[in-house]
Amino acid sequence: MVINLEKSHLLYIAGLIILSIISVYVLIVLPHGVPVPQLQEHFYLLGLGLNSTILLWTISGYLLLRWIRTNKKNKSLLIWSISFLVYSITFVAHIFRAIGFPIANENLSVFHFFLWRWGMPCFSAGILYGILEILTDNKKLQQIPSISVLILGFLWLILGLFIIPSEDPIEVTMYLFLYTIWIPVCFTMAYIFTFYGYKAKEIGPKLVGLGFFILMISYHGWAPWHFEEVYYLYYLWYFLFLLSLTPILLGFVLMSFEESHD
Amino acid sequence: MQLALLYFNTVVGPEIFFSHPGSILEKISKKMLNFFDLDMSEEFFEVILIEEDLKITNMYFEITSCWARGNKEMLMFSIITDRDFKGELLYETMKNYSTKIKSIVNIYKAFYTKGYLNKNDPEIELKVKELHEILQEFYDVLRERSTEKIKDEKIVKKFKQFKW
Repeated sequence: MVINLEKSHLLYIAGLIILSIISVYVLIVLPHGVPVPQLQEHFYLLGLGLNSTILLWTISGYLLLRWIRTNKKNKSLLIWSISFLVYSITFVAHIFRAIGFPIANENLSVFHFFLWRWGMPCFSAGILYGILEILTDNKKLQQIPSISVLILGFLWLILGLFIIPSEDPIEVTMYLFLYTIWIPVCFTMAYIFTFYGYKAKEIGPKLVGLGFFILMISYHGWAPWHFEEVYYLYYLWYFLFLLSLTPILLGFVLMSFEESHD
Repeated sequence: MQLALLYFNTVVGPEIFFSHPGSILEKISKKMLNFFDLDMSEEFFEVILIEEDLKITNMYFEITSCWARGNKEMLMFSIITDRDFKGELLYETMKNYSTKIKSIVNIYKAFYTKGYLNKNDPEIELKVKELHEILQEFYDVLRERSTEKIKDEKIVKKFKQFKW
């Protein structure tokens, strides 16, 4: 006998029964949650890191899917997909740091910082290359700015972390990197997508632009609030960063729908 | 891009009063005059010439006239561009200049220079000069606007060349 689940709504009834059993148990026992001492100190980092990773992987996965679905012709989708995936390394480290893996703590030493942050110059170069791939057919114009961003990004990381003497090498490095590369690249992305959205009268690109704009703003606060005495406020910027990923994801999804209905 | 002002000569029918830069190819001007002669209720319309790979964006308007039959002169702006050009982007500019021409006192006199229409009015030459100046300015503005618009559209074309 074949049961038509849709017609009889058996899944809904089964769900209600399971929920009722759980509710009865919970109301009788009134259970206390199991403590996880490792998370006591860094539970917020776990949440932020986990959510950021999920969103970055979703953006990356969606862009990859679109690249495949569109017959692998739009190279920018693939480049951005890889860029978002590489960028997520930092946030994967946050998850592991939060659950008690000291090696995942980027603030442990300059080497650890480099280990978990090298994805950022790659991300900057990747997203820039992706947009230049769309805007110009000139290979030199596509490659020279992207490679310069990559080289300069690594140069700041190496100089700031390992060569320039400083009491706060991590913060100095990020001041250099964020204010000369990251922020201008994010602003460029924000501007181009917004401009395109405005001209094409589409919401998707505008949302992507908005996301990159918020991302850019969130990184303004990174270095100044990364010092020990104000470190707690660093998480507010982290919250803002997390918020920026939603319009980026939503924008890319909407863009593919809007373009297909063009 | 070429700009033309067509008017309805009560004796010989539709004529080109002004064209810039240079004169319009005979093959195209004949078609333009035929479009003007059509009794259409549309004020703004575009025509695509498939063979010539061109687009003609037109705006019909009227000005009051003491010398014309029915007390009105029938005029039409025609802008010749590439086939892909979005003529509607120039609508506002065309509208503004038609209003500008309408607002000039006795501007209808500019259309009475031909022998068989000459009214021996000393103001005719002045009005011709005035109208030519406005049309030249109109062309410069159109040129500027269309270049701006084309630049703006480039980004859309760049993005649209890919599937998303």
